[in-house]
Amino acid sequence: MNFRTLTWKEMVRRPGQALIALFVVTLGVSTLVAVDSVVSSSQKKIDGQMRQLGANILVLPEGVTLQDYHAADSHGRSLPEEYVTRIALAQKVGVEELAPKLSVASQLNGDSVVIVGILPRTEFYKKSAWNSVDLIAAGLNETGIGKKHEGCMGKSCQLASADKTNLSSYAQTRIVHDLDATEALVGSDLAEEYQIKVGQELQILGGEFRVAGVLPATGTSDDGRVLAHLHRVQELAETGPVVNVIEVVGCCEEAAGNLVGELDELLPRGRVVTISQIVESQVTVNRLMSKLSFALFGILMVIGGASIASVMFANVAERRRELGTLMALGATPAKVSGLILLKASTIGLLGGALGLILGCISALIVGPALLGLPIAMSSGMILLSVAVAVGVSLVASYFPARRASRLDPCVCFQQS
Amino acid sequence: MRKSCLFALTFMLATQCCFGANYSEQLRSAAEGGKTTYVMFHRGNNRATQQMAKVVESVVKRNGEKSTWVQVSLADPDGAELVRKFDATRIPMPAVFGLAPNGAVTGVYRMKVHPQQLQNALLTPRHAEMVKALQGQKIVVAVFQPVTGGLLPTGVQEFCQSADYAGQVQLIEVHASDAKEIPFFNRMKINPRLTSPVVRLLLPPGNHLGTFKGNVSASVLAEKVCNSGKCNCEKCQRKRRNARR
Repeated sequence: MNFRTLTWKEMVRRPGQALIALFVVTLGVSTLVAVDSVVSSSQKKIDGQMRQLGANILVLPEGVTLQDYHAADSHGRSLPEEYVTRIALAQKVGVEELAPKLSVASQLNGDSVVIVGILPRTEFYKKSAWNSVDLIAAGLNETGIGKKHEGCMGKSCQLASADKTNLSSYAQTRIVHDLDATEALVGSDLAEEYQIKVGQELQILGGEFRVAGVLPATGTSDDGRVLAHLHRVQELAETGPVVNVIEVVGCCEEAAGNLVGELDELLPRGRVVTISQIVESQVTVNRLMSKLSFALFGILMVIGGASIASVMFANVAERRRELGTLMALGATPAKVSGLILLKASTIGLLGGALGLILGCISALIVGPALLGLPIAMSSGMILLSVAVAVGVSLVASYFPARRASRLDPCVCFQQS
Repeated sequence: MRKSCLFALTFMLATQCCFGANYSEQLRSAAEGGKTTYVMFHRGNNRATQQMAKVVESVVKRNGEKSTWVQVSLADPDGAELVRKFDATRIPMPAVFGLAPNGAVTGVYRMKVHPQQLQNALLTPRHAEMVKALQGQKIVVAVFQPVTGGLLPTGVQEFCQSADYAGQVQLIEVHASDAKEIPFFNRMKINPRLTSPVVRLLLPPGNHLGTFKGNVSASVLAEKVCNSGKCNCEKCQRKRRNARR
């Protein structure tokens, strides 16, 4: 009979103690793994969205709070479209693109569908060009297009490159260059569900639209929507010239600097929010969750360690005769303490593994169901949590193991 | 009080007259007469509308031979075409547009307007041509020629005819000998007593890329456009594609 068999038999003979310790370790590891997986997936999603996002400033109606960037047009409140004209005419340095949106619920083949009114870039070009005379006069003393720093695009310029004029560029930039009033773009999911093809006619809001393009999948709510010219959507939905949100692609430095204040001044009754504010608050929540998960893990590990220590002390006391016999048969103190530590590390390893499985399952269920996040496990965190669980078990068992190694076989037999 | 009531009455009468008028006809006849038309849109006869109308009227009185004005109420069915053309329902009201005889929009002022702004909306024919080209999303190469001589610079010719920019560039040539165009020289801050051609390069909607002497080469002009980061030549498109990768 070797040490491993001895340890296993011991655990089977006294399952209660082992299970309590195992439960605490499992709980700690599963909490850490689940929360950390959700947090890191959320972080990845934010990073991905930041890369995909065209706009980094949103102009919302007063009183609207924003939880989800991609649902910024779904709050049901509106602001006048003249705000868009104000921004276009103001020609602020740092405002690179504008994308006002109006969401209207409608029907497609008897099913509910959201049609989003979007304004193509050419509309802004037309309006900002009305200021050509003043722009020339203002710009004669400077050359270039008002670039303030590296990466700044300066004032908007109306030379649109071929990649910008491609309709499918909307999937990346959320802005289309030109869109006829009778044309519509269809999200990938919707196109797949209804087998919609380019060139097909759609009847939405009582108006006919020709499908000008099917957008590539974006992983956002746009995948299930129909996009059409804002003014046609306003006309069909009889909303008047209003929008739900104005997305502004601002040069990053400007967006973080004066631009928001300037837009605030220009649109006194709108709420100007930067994506950095939204992202910052989300990142703060993530950081808090991450810290909390570590704190919880720490607390549970301390409890688990204490529990393991107590279990091991009791175990050593209960097994005095058995350990004394082993020593009388020639087992060295190191072997005896090794026996105790092996049991502790087995509990740690099992607890870690069980916690890992539980944590992964929780994350895979909780993530998509509650937060709508596809969860990806972090291998680093998996290794760390199991290592910590085994480490805590070993540390907690150090003193019980030392006590076991110092047992005197004669005294053990005498007492028993 | 009495003064403002009187003005309101005058305004209403003027508006009434305009309501029945054919706006397109008015604009066409103004364009034929080489006049700039101020088209003033309003929602109703409120204080802001009255004030703006007063300013526009005073400027038109001062420049009778150069300008005229029309008032269009957003509620007026006769003005629907103009309202649609200028998307006036989506602009803060009241608003006034300056329209050059060639159709270029020479300015848009909303809520309130200063006489000097309206004055600035009066352009010379070549200036209006340049603005129209910019509003048509063209790169503009404006060549300011001296009174005597003044052949079109070779570099400018080459730039305008190059495969990358042909069709995207509008050449505006103006001579200091043309007295009508002197205000254009002044507005572009170029001394009309120049002795050799001066070239100004502009991107739509009105970004000034640089001023050059007449001997500027096509490659210098092309480089300026490329460096703006907005260029669409094959080289710049390739550069952008590579950067994205």
